[in-house]
Amino acid sequence: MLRLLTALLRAIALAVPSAERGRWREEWLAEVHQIARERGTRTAARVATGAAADALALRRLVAARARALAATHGKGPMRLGISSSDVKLALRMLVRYPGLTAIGVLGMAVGIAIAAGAFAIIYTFVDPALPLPEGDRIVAIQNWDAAANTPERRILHDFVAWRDEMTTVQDVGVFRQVGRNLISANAQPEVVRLTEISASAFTLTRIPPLVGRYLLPDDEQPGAPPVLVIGHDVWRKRFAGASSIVGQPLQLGETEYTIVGVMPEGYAFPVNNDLWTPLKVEPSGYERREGPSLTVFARLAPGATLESANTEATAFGLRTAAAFPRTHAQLRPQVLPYTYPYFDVNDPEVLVAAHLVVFLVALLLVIVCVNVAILVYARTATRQGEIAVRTALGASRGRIVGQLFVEALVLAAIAAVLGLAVTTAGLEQVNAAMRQGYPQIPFWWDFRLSAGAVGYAVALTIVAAAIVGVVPALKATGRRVQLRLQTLSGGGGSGMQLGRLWTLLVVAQVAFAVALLPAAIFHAWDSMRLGATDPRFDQVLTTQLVLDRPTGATPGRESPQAFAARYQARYDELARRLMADPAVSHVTFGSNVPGEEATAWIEADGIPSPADTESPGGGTAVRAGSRAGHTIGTTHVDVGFFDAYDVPVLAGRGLERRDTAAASNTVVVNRALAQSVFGEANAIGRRIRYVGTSRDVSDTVPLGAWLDIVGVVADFPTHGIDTSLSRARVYHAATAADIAGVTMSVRVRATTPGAFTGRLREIAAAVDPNLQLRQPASLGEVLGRDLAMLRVVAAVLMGLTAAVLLLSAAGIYAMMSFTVSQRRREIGIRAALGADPRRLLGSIFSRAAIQLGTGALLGMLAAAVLETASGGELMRGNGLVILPIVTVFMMCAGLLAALGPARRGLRIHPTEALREQ
Amino acid sequence: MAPANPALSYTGLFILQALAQGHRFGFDIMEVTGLPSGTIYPALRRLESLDLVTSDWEKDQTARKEGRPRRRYYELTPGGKRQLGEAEARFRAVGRLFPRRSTA
Repeated sequence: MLRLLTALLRAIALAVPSAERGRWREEWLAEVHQIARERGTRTAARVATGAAADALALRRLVAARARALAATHGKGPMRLGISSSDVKLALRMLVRYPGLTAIGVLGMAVGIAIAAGAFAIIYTFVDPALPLPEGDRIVAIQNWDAAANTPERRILHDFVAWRDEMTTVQDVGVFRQVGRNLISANAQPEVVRLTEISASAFTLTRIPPLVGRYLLPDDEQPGAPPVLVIGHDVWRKRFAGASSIVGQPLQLGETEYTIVGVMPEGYAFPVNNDLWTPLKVEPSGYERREGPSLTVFARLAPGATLESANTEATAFGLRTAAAFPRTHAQLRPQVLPYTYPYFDVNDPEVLVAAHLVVFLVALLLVIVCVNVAILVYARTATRQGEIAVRTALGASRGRIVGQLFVEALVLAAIAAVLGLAVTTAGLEQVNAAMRQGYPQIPFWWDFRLSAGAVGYAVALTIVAAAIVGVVPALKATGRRVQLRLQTLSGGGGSGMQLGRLWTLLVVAQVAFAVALLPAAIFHAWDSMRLGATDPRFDQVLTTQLVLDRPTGATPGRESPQAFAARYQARYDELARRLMADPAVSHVTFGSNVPGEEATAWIEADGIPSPADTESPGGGTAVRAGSRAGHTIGTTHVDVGFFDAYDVPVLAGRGLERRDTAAASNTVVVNRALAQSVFGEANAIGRRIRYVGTSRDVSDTVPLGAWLDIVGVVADFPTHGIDTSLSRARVYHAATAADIAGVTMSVRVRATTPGAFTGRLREIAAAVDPNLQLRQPASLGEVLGRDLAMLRVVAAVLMGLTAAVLLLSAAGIYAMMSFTVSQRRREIGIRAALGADPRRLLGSIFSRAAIQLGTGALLGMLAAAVLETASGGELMRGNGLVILPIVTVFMMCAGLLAALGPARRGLRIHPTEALREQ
Repeated sequence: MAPANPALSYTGLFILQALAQGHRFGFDIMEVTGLPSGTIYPALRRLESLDLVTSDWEKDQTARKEGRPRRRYYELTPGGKRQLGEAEARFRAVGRLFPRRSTA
């Protein structure tokens, strides 16, 4: 009985449309078998009677669905009909052309990754969201000095006036950051950043404390006991999250504070801070535009806007300027979004530059996409037959374009997913590198894929798909589609003709690759090879040595001279004790970490500068920062500096004690400077002077005094940021007191800088507990920090260059192969008529070579123009090596592409070729 | 009076309700609704084409172990649940039509 039922169901299944038949049969057989087992064959038979009705119903349903589909996809105006089957077909195409898929996905993924990353990073700077309740209403108030074009930060009096009188802002407060030694009984002193801040900061940010209380206005009163609020991390790490934290003492520098509260995790207002104490500064102790440098914050009052606050601030500024013209005539109060002063969004040039970068990066993606489009176009050409048949069967142009668009969209979407994954990982790297290298960056600079960045990536993906899919599709489904159908019936090959446009594309592609890629390759390579370190770097412990200045900011407590003398005494004592340690071989100092000298511009007496430094006014002033003169690095160092770093004196003498005298005008230069300025001539006894420094703010600066060169030293090994290993340098002699914040270098032996750090802290604490050792690390580590960031940039540059190079080669390959295959029939016929194959090949290659050669020539010309325009910065003289390599690479790709189709053409049987004709 | 959505017949409503109560394959639904197989299966196809119901196949292994073809299981889509919810709001008795299937 069951067998009979099975046979019956199989028979009925024949009535079901074939697409659904298998599933229908399986379902019914399963049901009937199960029922037979559970309820007997009689019930199974009764149920099976419904099978016929079901089969017919399903048949009707499928037919209705097909009609609906036809109605959607039928002929009509240009309409993109897209269905899930298009996606399936697109996926199938991706699998069928794995090479194109891999190249397309890879190229677009790199493009989208970089575009989304650039967007995320730039808009984090340009338009950061302050992660606080109603963070967009928190503002900064600053006094812009219209004369110096910088903010004036000595604004104690103005702050008090703003706080007490302005109505459009509330919770007005002020802060400054100071370094202090954290001193505890059982550990060495550690430098921490203490924030002296108004209590209103805590009501402004509206974040309640986790434990205890935050700062209150009473704490700011003179004579109030010193209290401290600590951050979550400090509480966890230093106090193991003790619940009895409130009331515990903490010694910072000379002051013992009482902890009154802990702020929750992630709280880092105002910049990136975790120790807060009230700012106790009396305006009465200072004149206007004197006193400590401060930063003012506030919250817009209910109903107030940035505009209304600025109107009030401007009116306020005018009144103050009238009342105190001597100090305030040039000062303009401004109310800005809180984050603006940290990244100068106020400056339209910066904004334009930021948008321009985003645009240019997006343009790179467009270039990538055009290349992928060329590849897709070449493939579409091989699908002419399919397109023609579908058109003949009634598919509209919109329908076919839609299909090709979906194919491109699927390709681009895969690339976008891959690209965004890369961006997410990359941004984490950038964040880690930033937090590691620059612990003081603002807490709101957290690079992540925001919703905006994802939206931007999605938009770019659609644009990419449009370029890659729609442009070739429109071209391929043009008005000659009918003609193509006839060609197809005649057995001909591709009907797509491009003629001059195609030639132009080949030429442009080669020209673009040759013009721009060498410089990109050079820079990517140059950045990657950074980090060649010197063994000396790993023997040297560097730290900035800072001495607490008296707190309370009351002027007159210690004169600058007294402070300098105190600093010199502390340094001398520290150096003496360190040298007594057997693990230390040298102690020296400089005004900066070696390799991070300030940039400046000099000219030499009697030698014309690279650019005219004379000003129309008579030659005593130059435009600062105009880079007139030789670019050099300038630094002040201890007289024992060269000795400590084993830098030999090549000519003249090294620095001596007498050079540190204030009236001294002697300098030592390195070999790079001597060679670049004086050539082979002797530099000793020659004179140089400064014509500008990177710190100059006004348009013109007075020329510096002439300096005598007394010695030439070997080039000090340097690190990455300055890519030329032999940068020109000028060394001035200095005492520790001259710098009063020296970067000390302690060269160790038989130990590592890391292992010696503890000992250094002990010795420094014994000399003076207020001596702060800031960021002690081996020189190798310090230089490596900057390299970490550079490496991220280099990796991005490398990825992009590789993607563009690969795509350019692939694009040229596809275009050449396509043009030659278009001539396949011609080649076959000529071969059939008895032409010499060698001459035929020669003619094909000469045509290809002319196209490629024209492109290469134009590219080289463009490269030369760009190189000249950039003043040789683009390739720094390496063009003669890289340019030919890229050119040859592109030519080879093109000629190789011509080879395959040409050989296929020669292999056509003559009769076959004639028949095609 | 017709059900809330003109596309949904009473049969369809009954089937949605049966599915909601955990009756997941054709015969089970037949049993609990009392409707004949010639009605149930076509209705299931229709509901599936309206995206109110979706189907999935039993695991091959399970079927093979019991020596029979794979069963096809149906369940409500979010659209189906919404549609049923609307109908239940209009016909309060619908919710009590069929007993919940014991999970044993």
